[in-house]
Amino acid sequence: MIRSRRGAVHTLEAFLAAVIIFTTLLYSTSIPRERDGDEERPLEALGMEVLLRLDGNGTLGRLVEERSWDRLERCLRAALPAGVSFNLTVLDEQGAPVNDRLISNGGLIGRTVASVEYLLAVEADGCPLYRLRLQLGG
Amino acid sequence: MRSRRVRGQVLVLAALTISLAILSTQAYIYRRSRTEASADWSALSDYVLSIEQGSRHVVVASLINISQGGAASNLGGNLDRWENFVSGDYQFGRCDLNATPASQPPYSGGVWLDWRTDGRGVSSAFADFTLNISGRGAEVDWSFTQNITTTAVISGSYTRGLGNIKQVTVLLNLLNEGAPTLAGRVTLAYLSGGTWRDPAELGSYSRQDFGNGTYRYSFTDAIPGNQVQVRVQVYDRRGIYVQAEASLSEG
Repeated sequence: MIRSRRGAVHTLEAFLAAVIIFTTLLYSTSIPRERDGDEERPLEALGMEVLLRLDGNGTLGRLVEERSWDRLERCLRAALPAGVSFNLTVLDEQGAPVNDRLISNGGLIGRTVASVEYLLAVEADGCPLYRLRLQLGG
Repeated sequence: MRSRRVRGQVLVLAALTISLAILSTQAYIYRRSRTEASADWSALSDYVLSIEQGSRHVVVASLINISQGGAASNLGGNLDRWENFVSGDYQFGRCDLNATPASQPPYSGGVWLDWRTDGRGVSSAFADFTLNISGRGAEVDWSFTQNITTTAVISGSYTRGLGNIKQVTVLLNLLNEGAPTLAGRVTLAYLSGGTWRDPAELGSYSRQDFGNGTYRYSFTDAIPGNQVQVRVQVYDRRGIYVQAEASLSEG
Protein backbone atom coordinates (compact mmCIF):
# COMPACT_ATOMS: atom_id res chain seq x y z
CA MET A 1 0.00 0.00 0.00
CA ILE A 2 2.76 2.40 1.05
CA ARG A 3 4.81 1.34 -1.96
CA SER A 4 1.99 2.09 -4.35
CA ARG A 5 1.53 5.56 -2.79
CA ARG A 6 5.25 6.15 -3.06
CA GLY A 7 4.92 5.25 -6.72
CA ALA A 8 2.12 7.77 -7.12
CA VAL A 9 4.25 10.46 -5.49
CA HIS A 10 7.12 9.67 -7.85
CA THR A 11 4.75 9.80 -10.80
CA LEU A 12 3.45 13.19 -9.69
CA GLU A 13 7.00 14.42 -9.14
CA ALA A 14 7.97 13.31 -12.63
CA PHE A 15 4.87 14.94 -14.08
CA LEU A 16 5.60 18.18 -12.23
CA ALA A 17 9.19 18.19 -13.44
CA ALA A 18 8.01 17.58 -17.01
CA VAL A 19 5.53 20.48 -16.74
CA ILE A 20 8.26 22.82 -15.44
CA ILE A 21 10.70 21.80 -18.18
CA PHE A 22 8.00 22.09 -20.86
CA THR A 23 6.89 25.55 -19.62
CA THR A 24 10.49 26.78 -19.52
CA LEU A 25 11.15 25.50 -23.04
CA LEU A 26 7.93 27.08 -24.32
CA TYR A 27 8.80 30.41 -22.76
CA SER A 28 12.42 30.40 -23.93
CA THR A 29 11.45 29.69 -27.56
CA SER A 30 9.03 32.62 -27.54
CA ILE A 31 11.62 35.18 -26.35
CA PRO A 32 13.47 35.74 -29.67
CA ARG A 33 10.16 35.77 -31.56
CA GLU A 34 8.88 38.63 -29.44
CA ARG A 35 12.02 40.65 -30.08
CA ASP A 36 11.64 40.30 -33.83
CA GLY A 37 9.01 42.97 -34.49
CA ASP A 38 8.33 42.05 -38.12
CA GLU A 39 7.44 38.44 -37.31
CA GLU A 40 5.10 39.35 -34.47
CA ARG A 41 3.46 42.24 -36.33
CA PRO A 42 0.32 41.28 -38.21
CA LEU A 43 0.47 41.69 -41.99
CA GLU A 44 -2.26 44.39 -41.93
CA ALA A 45 -0.23 46.58 -39.56
CA LEU A 46 2.93 45.97 -41.58
CA GLY A 47 1.23 46.98 -44.85
CA MET A 48 -0.35 50.06 -43.30
CA GLU A 49 2.97 51.20 -41.82
CA VAL A 50 4.77 50.80 -45.14
CA LEU A 51 2.11 52.81 -47.01
CA LEU A 52 2.09 55.48 -44.29
CA ARG A 53 5.87 55.80 -44.49
CA LEU A 54 5.85 56.09 -48.29
CA ASP A 55 3.01 58.62 -48.16
CA GLY A 56 4.66 60.67 -45.40
CA ASN A 57 7.39 62.02 -47.66
CA GLY A 58 5.08 62.36 -50.68
CA THR A 59 6.66 59.47 -52.61
CA LEU A 60 3.48 57.39 -52.78
CA GLY A 61 1.33 60.22 -54.16
CA ARG A 62 3.97 61.27 -56.69
CA LEU A 63 4.49 57.73 -58.04
CA VAL A 64 0.75 57.08 -58.33
CA GLU A 65 0.15 60.44 -60.03
CA GLU A 66 3.04 59.79 -62.45
CA ARG A 67 1.75 56.24 -63.06
CA SER A 68 5.27 54.97 -62.25
CA TRP A 69 4.18 51.43 -61.43
CA ASP A 70 7.70 49.97 -61.82
CA ARG A 71 9.15 52.39 -59.29
CA LEU A 72 6.21 51.89 -56.94
CA GLU A 73 6.76 48.12 -57.10
CA ARG A 74 10.47 48.58 -56.36
CA CYS A 75 9.64 50.82 -53.38
CA LEU A 76 7.28 48.18 -51.95
CA ARG A 77 9.84 45.40 -52.55
CA ALA A 78 12.41 47.44 -50.61
CA ALA A 79 10.06 48.44 -47.80
CA LEU A 80 8.45 45.05 -47.10
CA PRO A 81 10.34 42.14 -45.49
CA ALA A 82 11.74 39.54 -47.91
CA GLY A 83 9.30 36.82 -46.85
CA VAL A 84 6.20 38.89 -47.53
CA SER A 85 4.49 38.72 -50.92
CA PHE A 86 2.27 41.58 -52.12
CA ASN A 87 -0.19 42.64 -54.76
CA LEU A 88 -1.23 46.31 -55.05
CA THR A 89 -4.30 47.66 -56.84
CA VAL A 90 -4.80 51.40 -57.30
CA LEU A 91 -8.41 52.58 -57.64
CA ASP A 92 -9.50 56.10 -58.50
CA GLU A 93 -12.11 58.19 -56.64
CA GLN A 94 -14.95 56.36 -58.44
CA GLY A 95 -13.46 52.94 -57.70
CA ALA A 96 -12.13 52.17 -61.19
CA PRO A 97 -8.71 50.44 -61.40
CA VAL A 98 -5.92 52.79 -62.46
CA ASN A 99 -2.85 50.56 -62.68
CA ASP A 100 -2.67 48.97 -66.12
CA ARG A 101 -0.09 46.42 -65.03
CA LEU A 102 0.35 44.13 -62.05
CA ILE A 103 2.16 45.70 -59.07
CA SER A 104 3.34 42.55 -57.33
CA ASN A 105 6.41 40.53 -56.38
CA GLY A 106 5.03 37.33 -57.86
CA GLY A 107 1.56 36.66 -56.48
CA LEU A 108 0.37 36.03 -52.96
CA ILE A 109 2.32 33.26 -51.27
CA GLY A 110 2.17 32.25 -47.61
CA ARG A 111 0.02 30.70 -44.93
CA THR A 112 -1.63 34.02 -44.04
CA VAL A 113 -3.17 36.50 -46.46
CA ALA A 114 -4.24 40.00 -45.40
CA SER A 115 -5.69 43.03 -47.17
CA VAL A 116 -5.14 46.70 -46.35
CA GLU A 117 -6.99 49.67 -47.84
CA TYR A 118 -5.26 53.04 -47.85
CA LEU A 119 -6.91 56.35 -48.76
CA LEU A 120 -4.51 58.58 -50.64
CA ALA A 121 -4.77 62.30 -51.40
CA VAL A 122 -2.11 63.67 -53.73
CA GLU A 123 -0.51 67.10 -53.39
CA ALA A 124 -1.13 67.97 -57.02
CA ASP A 125 -3.39 70.30 -58.96
CA GLY A 126 -6.99 69.09 -58.71
CA CYS A 127 -6.21 67.10 -55.53
CA PRO A 128 -6.70 63.60 -56.99
CA LEU A 129 -7.92 60.94 -54.53
CA TYR A 130 -7.09 57.23 -54.75
CA ARG A 131 -7.90 54.06 -52.84
CA LEU A 132 -4.93 51.68 -52.59
CA ARG A 133 -5.70 48.01 -51.96
CA LEU A 134 -2.60 46.19 -50.75
CA GLN A 135 -2.88 42.42 -50.38
CA LEU A 136 -0.14 40.73 -48.42
CA GLY A 137 0.88 37.10 -47.98
CA GLY A 138 3.36 35.76 -45.49
CA MET B 1 2.47 7.51 10.58
CA ARG B 2 4.48 6.97 7.40
CA SER B 3 1.27 6.47 5.39
CA ARG B 4 -0.05 9.86 6.60
CA ARG B 5 3.18 11.60 5.59
CA VAL B 6 3.02 10.09 2.11
CA ARG B 7 -0.64 11.10 1.78
CA GLY B 8 0.33 14.65 2.76
CA GLN B 9 3.09 14.68 0.13
CA VAL B 10 0.62 13.54 -2.52
CA LEU B 11 -1.78 16.30 -1.57
CA VAL B 12 0.95 18.98 -1.62
CA LEU B 13 2.22 17.81 -5.02
CA ALA B 14 -1.32 17.62 -6.43
CA ALA B 15 -2.05 21.16 -5.20
CA LEU B 16 1.20 22.38 -6.71
CA THR B 17 0.45 20.74 -10.05
CA ILE B 18 -3.05 22.20 -10.21
CA SER B 19 -1.90 25.71 -9.26
CA LEU B 20 0.91 25.53 -11.82
CA ALA B 21 -1.55 24.46 -14.52
CA ILE B 22 -3.96 27.29 -13.61
CA LEU B 23 -1.14 29.87 -13.55
CA SER B 24 0.24 28.70 -16.91
CA THR B 25 -3.23 28.91 -18.48
CA GLN B 26 -3.76 32.41 -17.10
CA ALA B 27 -0.34 33.58 -18.29
CA TYR B 28 -0.99 32.14 -21.76
CA ILE B 29 -4.43 33.78 -22.03
CA TYR B 30 -3.02 37.10 -20.78
CA ARG B 31 -0.21 37.04 -23.33
CA ARG B 32 -2.55 36.16 -26.19
CA SER B 33 -5.05 38.88 -25.29
CA ARG B 34 -2.28 41.48 -24.91
CA THR B 35 -0.87 40.71 -28.38
CA GLU B 36 -4.31 40.86 -30.02
CA ALA B 37 -5.24 44.11 -28.29
CA SER B 38 -1.96 45.83 -29.21
CA ALA B 39 -2.26 44.66 -32.84
CA ASP B 40 -5.81 46.07 -33.13
CA TRP B 41 -4.80 49.33 -31.48
CA SER B 42 -1.77 49.64 -33.75
CA ALA B 43 -3.90 49.15 -36.88
CA LEU B 44 -6.48 51.68 -35.68
CA SER B 45 -3.92 54.32 -34.75
CA ASP B 46 -2.18 53.84 -38.11
CA TYR B 47 -5.55 54.29 -39.83
CA VAL B 48 -6.20 57.55 -37.92
CA LEU B 49 -2.69 58.73 -38.83
CA SER B 50 -3.35 57.98 -42.50
CA ILE B 51 -6.54 60.08 -42.42
CA GLU B 52 -4.66 62.94 -40.74
CA GLN B 53 -1.86 62.69 -43.31
CA GLY B 54 -4.38 62.60 -46.17
CA SER B 55 -6.13 65.69 -44.76
CA ARG B 56 -2.80 67.51 -44.79
CA HIS B 57 -2.24 66.53 -48.44
CA VAL B 58 -5.71 67.87 -49.33
CA VAL B 59 -4.98 71.25 -47.71
CA VAL B 60 -1.55 71.45 -49.42
CA ALA B 61 -3.02 70.49 -52.83
CA SER B 62 -5.72 73.15 -52.43
CA LEU B 63 -3.21 75.85 -51.49
CA ILE B 64 -1.03 74.94 -54.49
CA ASN B 65 -4.03 75.52 -56.73
CA ILE B 66 -5.30 78.69 -55.01
CA SER B 67 -1.87 80.36 -54.73
CA GLN B 68 -1.39 79.85 -58.46
CA GLY B 69 -4.65 81.63 -59.32
CA GLY B 70 -7.32 79.02 -58.53
CA ALA B 71 -10.58 79.96 -56.82
CA ALA B 72 -10.46 80.22 -53.00
CA SER B 73 -13.56 78.00 -52.87
CA ASN B 74 -11.44 75.07 -54.11
CA LEU B 75 -10.30 74.40 -50.53
CA GLY B 76 -13.90 73.84 -49.36
CA GLY B 77 -14.66 71.75 -52.47
CA ASN B 78 -11.63 69.51 -52.00
CA LEU B 79 -12.36 69.09 -48.28
CA ASP B 80 -15.96 68.04 -49.10
CA ARG B 81 -14.64 65.44 -51.58
CA TRP B 82 -12.18 64.13 -48.99
CA GLU B 83 -14.91 63.94 -46.32
CA ASN B 84 -17.14 61.87 -48.62
CA PHE B 85 -14.22 59.67 -49.69
CA VAL B 86 -13.28 58.89 -46.08
CA SER B 87 -16.90 58.36 -45.00
CA GLY B 88 -17.24 55.66 -47.65
CA ASP B 89 -14.56 53.62 -45.93
CA TYR B 90 -15.84 51.13 -43.35
CA GLN B 91 -12.60 49.41 -42.41
CA PHE B 92 -13.19 49.96 -38.69
CA GLY B 93 -16.93 50.58 -38.73
CA ARG B 94 -18.66 53.93 -39.20
CA CYS B 95 -16.19 56.69 -40.07
CA ASP B 96 -17.15 60.38 -40.08
CA LEU B 97 -14.73 63.14 -40.97
CA ASN B 98 -15.79 66.77 -40.68
CA ALA B 99 -13.60 69.53 -42.06
CA THR B 100 -14.16 73.21 -41.39
CA PRO B 101 -12.07 75.85 -43.19
CA ALA B 102 -10.90 78.55 -40.78
CA SER B 103 -13.02 81.70 -40.81
CA GLN B 104 -11.35 83.83 -38.15
CA PRO B 105 -9.29 86.79 -39.53
CA PRO B 106 -7.01 86.92 -41.43
CA TYR B 107 -8.47 83.73 -42.94
CA SER B 108 -11.47 83.74 -45.21
CA GLY B 109 -12.83 80.41 -46.36
CA GLY B 110 -9.71 78.83 -44.83
CA VAL B 111 -7.35 80.80 -47.10
CA TRP B 112 -5.04 83.74 -46.42
CA LEU B 113 -3.00 85.21 -49.28
CA ASP B 114 -1.08 88.32 -48.26
CA TRP B 115 1.57 89.33 -50.77
CA ARG B 116 2.64 92.63 -49.32
CA THR B 117 5.03 95.38 -50.43
CA ASP B 118 6.77 95.66 -47.05
CA GLY B 119 9.04 92.66 -47.66
CA ARG B 120 6.76 89.86 -46.45
CA GLY B 121 4.49 87.55 -48.43
CA VAL B 122 2.26 84.82 -46.99
CA SER B 123 0.27 82.03 -48.65
CA SER B 124 -1.67 80.02 -46.09
CA ALA B 125 -4.57 77.58 -45.71
CA PHE B 126 -6.08 76.45 -42.40
CA ALA B 127 -8.77 73.91 -41.58
CA ASP B 128 -10.11 72.17 -38.45
CA PHE B 129 -10.94 68.45 -38.59
CA THR B 130 -12.88 66.09 -36.37
CA LEU B 131 -12.75 62.35 -36.98
CA ASN B 132 -15.23 59.95 -35.39
CA ILE B 133 -14.90 56.20 -35.81
CA SER B 134 -17.40 53.89 -34.14
CA GLY B 135 -18.36 50.24 -34.33
CA ARG B 136 -16.46 46.94 -34.66
CA GLY B 137 -14.88 47.50 -31.24
CA ALA B 138 -13.35 50.83 -32.22
CA GLU B 139 -14.23 54.18 -30.68
CA VAL B 140 -12.24 57.19 -31.84
CA ASP B 141 -13.04 60.86 -31.32
CA TRP B 142 -10.10 62.81 -32.70
CA SER B 143 -9.69 66.52 -33.44
CA PHE B 144 -6.81 68.03 -35.31
CA THR B 145 -5.92 71.10 -37.38
CA GLN B 146 -3.94 71.53 -40.57
CA ASN B 147 -2.19 74.84 -41.03
CA ILE B 148 -0.11 75.07 -44.19
CA THR B 149 1.82 78.33 -44.51
CA THR B 150 4.55 79.42 -46.90
CA THR B 151 6.22 82.73 -46.04
CA ALA B 152 8.75 84.70 -48.07
CA VAL B 153 10.68 87.50 -46.38
CA ILE B 154 12.95 89.82 -48.36
CA SER B 155 15.30 92.50 -47.13
CA GLY B 156 18.41 94.23 -48.42
CA SER B 157 20.06 97.51 -49.34
CA TYR B 158 22.14 99.15 -52.05
CA THR B 159 25.39 101.08 -52.29
CA ARG B 160 25.54 104.03 -54.66
CA GLY B 161 28.12 104.32 -57.43
CA LEU B 162 28.56 106.98 -60.09
CA GLY B 163 25.33 108.70 -61.15
CA ASN B 164 22.42 106.29 -60.88
CA ILE B 165 24.60 103.21 -60.62
CA LYS B 166 23.56 101.11 -57.65
CA GLN B 167 24.94 97.85 -56.31
CA VAL B 168 21.92 96.04 -54.88
CA THR B 169 21.96 93.19 -52.37
CA VAL B 170 18.75 91.22 -51.65
CA LEU B 171 18.27 88.57 -48.97
CA LEU B 172 15.41 86.07 -49.24
CA ASN B 173 14.24 83.84 -46.40
CA LEU B 174 11.70 81.13 -47.17
CA LEU B 175 9.67 79.43 -44.44
CA ASN B 176 7.24 76.51 -44.36
CA GLU B 177 5.03 76.54 -41.25
CA GLY B 178 7.51 78.95 -39.67
CA ALA B 179 10.57 76.76 -40.26
CA PRO B 180 13.26 77.50 -42.87
CA THR B 181 12.85 75.52 -46.07
CA LEU B 182 14.41 75.26 -49.50
CA ALA B 183 12.85 76.97 -52.48
CA GLY B 184 11.75 75.19 -55.63
CA ARG B 185 11.94 78.12 -58.04
CA VAL B 186 12.71 81.81 -57.37
CA THR B 187 12.29 84.74 -59.76
CA LEU B 188 13.78 88.05 -58.69
CA ALA B 189 12.86 91.33 -60.37
CA TYR B 190 13.65 95.02 -59.81
CA LEU B 191 11.74 98.09 -60.93
CA SER B 192 13.60 100.43 -63.25
CA GLY B 193 11.98 103.09 -65.40
CA GLY B 194 8.50 101.76 -64.53
CA THR B 195 9.28 98.23 -65.79
CA TRP B 196 10.08 95.07 -63.87
CA ARG B 197 13.47 93.81 -65.03
CA ASP B 198 15.25 90.50 -64.59
CA PRO B 199 18.62 91.01 -62.85
CA ALA B 200 19.79 87.56 -64.08
CA GLU B 201 20.32 89.19 -67.48
CA LEU B 202 22.97 91.47 -66.01
CA GLY B 203 26.63 90.50 -66.09
CA SER B 204 27.04 91.58 -62.48
CA TYR B 205 24.30 89.24 -61.22
CA SER B 206 25.22 86.65 -58.59
CA ARG B 207 23.15 84.25 -56.48
CA GLN B 208 24.18 82.48 -53.30
CA ASP B 209 22.24 79.59 -51.76
CA PHE B 210 23.10 79.08 -48.09
CA GLY B 211 21.28 75.71 -48.05
CA ASN B 212 19.05 76.67 -45.14
CA GLY B 213 16.27 78.57 -46.89
CA THR B 214 18.32 81.76 -47.12
CA TYR B 215 19.32 83.13 -50.54
CA ARG B 216 21.47 86.16 -51.32
CA TYR B 217 21.27 88.03 -54.63
CA SER B 218 23.52 90.80 -55.83
CA PHE B 219 23.51 92.92 -59.02
CA THR B 220 24.58 96.34 -60.27
CA ASP B 221 22.64 98.58 -62.65
CA ALA B 222 21.69 102.18 -63.30
CA ILE B 223 18.45 102.63 -61.37
CA PRO B 224 17.02 106.13 -60.94
CA GLY B 225 15.62 107.29 -57.58
CA ASN B 226 16.52 106.99 -53.93
CA GLN B 227 14.95 103.59 -53.45
CA VAL B 228 15.13 100.30 -55.32
CA GLN B 229 11.90 98.35 -55.61
CA VAL B 230 12.49 94.56 -55.71
CA ARG B 231 10.07 91.62 -56.02
CA VAL B 232 10.50 87.88 -55.49
CA GLN B 233 8.15 85.25 -56.87
CA VAL B 234 8.76 81.92 -55.16
CA TYR B 235 7.46 78.36 -55.53
CA ASP B 236 8.35 76.25 -52.53
CA ARG B 237 9.20 72.56 -52.97
CA ARG B 238 5.51 71.62 -52.55
CA GLY B 239 4.56 73.93 -55.42
CA ILE B 240 2.92 76.65 -53.28
CA TYR B 241 3.39 80.11 -54.78
CA VAL B 242 4.16 83.24 -52.75
CA GLN B 243 5.47 86.66 -53.68
CA ALA B 244 6.77 89.66 -51.77
CA GLU B 245 7.96 93.16 -52.63
CA ALA B 246 10.26 95.53 -50.78
CA SER B 247 11.71 99.02 -51.20
CA LEU B 248 15.43 99.00 -50.52
CA SER B 249 17.26 102.02 -49.21
CA GLU B 250 20.91 102.99 -49.31
CA GLY B 251 22.73 101.21 -46.54
